Amino acid sequence: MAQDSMHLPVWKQPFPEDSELAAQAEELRREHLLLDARPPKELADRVLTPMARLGWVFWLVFVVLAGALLTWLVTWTNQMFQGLGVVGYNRVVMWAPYIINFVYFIGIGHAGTFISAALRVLRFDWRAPISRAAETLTIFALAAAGSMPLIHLGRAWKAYWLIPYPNERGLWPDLHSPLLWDMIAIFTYLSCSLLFEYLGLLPDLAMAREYVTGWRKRFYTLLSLGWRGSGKQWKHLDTAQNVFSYAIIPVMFSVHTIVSWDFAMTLQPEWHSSIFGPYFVVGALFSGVGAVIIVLAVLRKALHLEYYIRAEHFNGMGKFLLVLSLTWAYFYFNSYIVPWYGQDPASRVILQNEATGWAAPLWYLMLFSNIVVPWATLWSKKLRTSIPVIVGVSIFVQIGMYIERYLIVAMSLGYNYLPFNWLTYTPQLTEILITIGAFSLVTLGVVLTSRLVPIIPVWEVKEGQRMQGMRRIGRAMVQTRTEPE
Amino acid sequence: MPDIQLMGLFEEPTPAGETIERLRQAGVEENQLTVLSDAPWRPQVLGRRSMGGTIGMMALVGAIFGVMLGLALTGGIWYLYPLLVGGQPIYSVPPSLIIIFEMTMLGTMWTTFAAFLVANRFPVFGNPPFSPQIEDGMIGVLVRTESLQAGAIERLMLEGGAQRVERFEEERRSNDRTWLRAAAATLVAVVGVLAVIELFAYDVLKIEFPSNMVDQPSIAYLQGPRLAAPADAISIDGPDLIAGQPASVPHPMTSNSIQRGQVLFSINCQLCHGPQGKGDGTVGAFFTPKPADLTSRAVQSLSDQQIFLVITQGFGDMPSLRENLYPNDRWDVINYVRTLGK
Repeated sequence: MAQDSMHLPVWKQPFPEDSELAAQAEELRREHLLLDARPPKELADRVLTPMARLGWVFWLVFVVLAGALLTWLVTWTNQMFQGLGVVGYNRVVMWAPYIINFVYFIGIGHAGTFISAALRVLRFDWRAPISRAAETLTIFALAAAGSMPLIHLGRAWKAYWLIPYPNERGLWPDLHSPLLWDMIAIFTYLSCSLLFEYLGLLPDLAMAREYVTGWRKRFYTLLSLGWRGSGKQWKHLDTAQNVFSYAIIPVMFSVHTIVSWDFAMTLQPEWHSSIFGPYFVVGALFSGVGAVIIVLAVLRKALHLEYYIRAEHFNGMGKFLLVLSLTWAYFYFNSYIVPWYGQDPASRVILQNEATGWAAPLWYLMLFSNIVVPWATLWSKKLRTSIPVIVGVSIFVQIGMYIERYLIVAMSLGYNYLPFNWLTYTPQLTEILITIGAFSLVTLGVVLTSRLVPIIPVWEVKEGQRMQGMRRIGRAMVQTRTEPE
Repeated sequence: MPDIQLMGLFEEPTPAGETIERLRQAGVEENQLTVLSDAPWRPQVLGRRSMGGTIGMMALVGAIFGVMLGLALTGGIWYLYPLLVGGQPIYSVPPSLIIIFEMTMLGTMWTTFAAFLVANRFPVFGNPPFSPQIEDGMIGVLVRTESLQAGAIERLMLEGGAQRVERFEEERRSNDRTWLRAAAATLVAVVGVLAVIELFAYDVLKIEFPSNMVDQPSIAYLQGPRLAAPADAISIDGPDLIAGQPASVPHPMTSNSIQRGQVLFSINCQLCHGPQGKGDGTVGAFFTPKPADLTSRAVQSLSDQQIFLVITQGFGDMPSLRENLYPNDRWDVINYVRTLGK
């Protein structure tokens, strides 16, 4: 009997006969996706069927987001004709709303790579079903972030002047400028993230091709490039994904480090700090992981992915969020205590403004959202696995991290070394509409992608289910982990 | 000469692996075998030799290419467009390292992706053997063989536990020749698009399109006649001196003008030229040669326009007072200097 069950596919393997052990096995399967193997057809159905069901909620969301996006375009066009004067910039705070959004969305864009590349390298098996949603979020967040410098540029149609290529202008971008490093780093990160996601998507597009009909079949046939899962193809895919995983992690670090250098390379008080690189990277991962949690919870609800996205994933992501909150607090304290101790007059004004001035409500809300809320909740597994709680914490983290960027960009910039020149920035309608539009762009991108391609990497789930299993030790059933190499 | 393809469909890797081993003992070569599955099985699981691949090597080649591209981008600036920026060196190592790093990673990953497409001949043209049941979790063991041996191999597969065996004609395979043509065409198209972009960049091809710059009354740099100001326009500074053109209109010698000139002289000139203009000012005493004696014949015989030029441009060790005196004021100073000679 034991011999026979060895030769059954993993989704047909029987429970232990002992009822106590069977109950334990049932519990393990309920908890862990990779132990809850199902036939491939069912796995495919659970992703492909809800994707195509476009209910009135979907259309409502679509219309609202598309409307916000249209408003964004109209507002931007208006700004191009009127000039940047319609934005609340003044002669000191010349970097406010768009650069805040830029830093914020680049930060969101760090989660995808962190989850799919870093956790792949570290062999965290549970990441399997969540990596693609995270990668999709990365791509659209980067697209939204990339649009921000263009909007900030005013004459957006001159943006190609930033690209270094031999040209008739007799000009070449200045390689001493962090803005050029930014452009090159973001281009590298965005294009490689896109290729990375597409690599992992190929087998799932082939799967979708076999199960659907009509225009979707033609669409998937074209996109899957003729993938049929031969041994060589899997081997090449594995090698390519390994190369991408190891190469894209340092790129991810470099991107947000360079974003921080946009600030740190100036002589502005509170900006000119050598800890800004790692501090920004940690902040990016912090807000990015929070954003992925929100996206996962929404997709789980909208696409009925309760089978794939389980409490264990929110548990794992919650642990990361807590660790990142601790790390962020550590770096924030580092970047706080040194200027505080130095008592440089301009820095002192900024710090006093945060502690007791007009920025105090924002500053305390930031500390509350980024430190108090995660620390008060995420230590508990019960709270981590409760989806409303962890989504609420993640929303707090988004608010806190957005405020952090607001304080760094818009508040610090108003207080330079020339006291007669101190000004504050007040948001105007233009940038508020454009900010809403940027959030809509990211949301709409994720919503449409989740309807167009399988948002769960089904083949990775299958691989995990075939490799992982459980085993009886004494009177207990325990999960076993197989290293295939 | 293989002329037929057989695909045995297995439910599980153990019988598939055992069958592959038996096929090998029956004389089937590794290159006749293909295994199809809906999720990756390690080659060892199916008893296959691990397959080498060139993608890792190509990643290295891409990295080296990226380093070179980064060096070209950074060093190329120094060579093509020596641009002086605020006293910083034209070629500086630390910022170059950042760009070289990003280009290295870009080269690595793009090349890896391209190598992945090439190694798999993606997108696949033609119609290689496939069964929809593979997406239902079956493992397909595909053997290319001669029709004479087909019966024996089919039997072997069924004995080994295959659910069923499908036969495909030898023609059912990917069309690598079409793929090669498509790949070459893509390459040509990419190079062509880049070339067209450069043609636009160097204005060989040109599309006139409205832009704010063109709408403004301006002319390409160092070209064309300067636009004449409207006849009744006056500069807020008063008319300035333009080389080759007559200096601005002198002020008539009125007592008002002389009085203004005296005040301005005491502020701007007296420290060097002295209160009476004799070249004996407090500061002028330290100079060698001494400041000019404005009462001398040499100075007084200069025309008003020549004195105007000296004030505007400086002369010898005397600095230009362009920024200290408006053109109107200079004529007042000149009128006052004329009174010193009397």
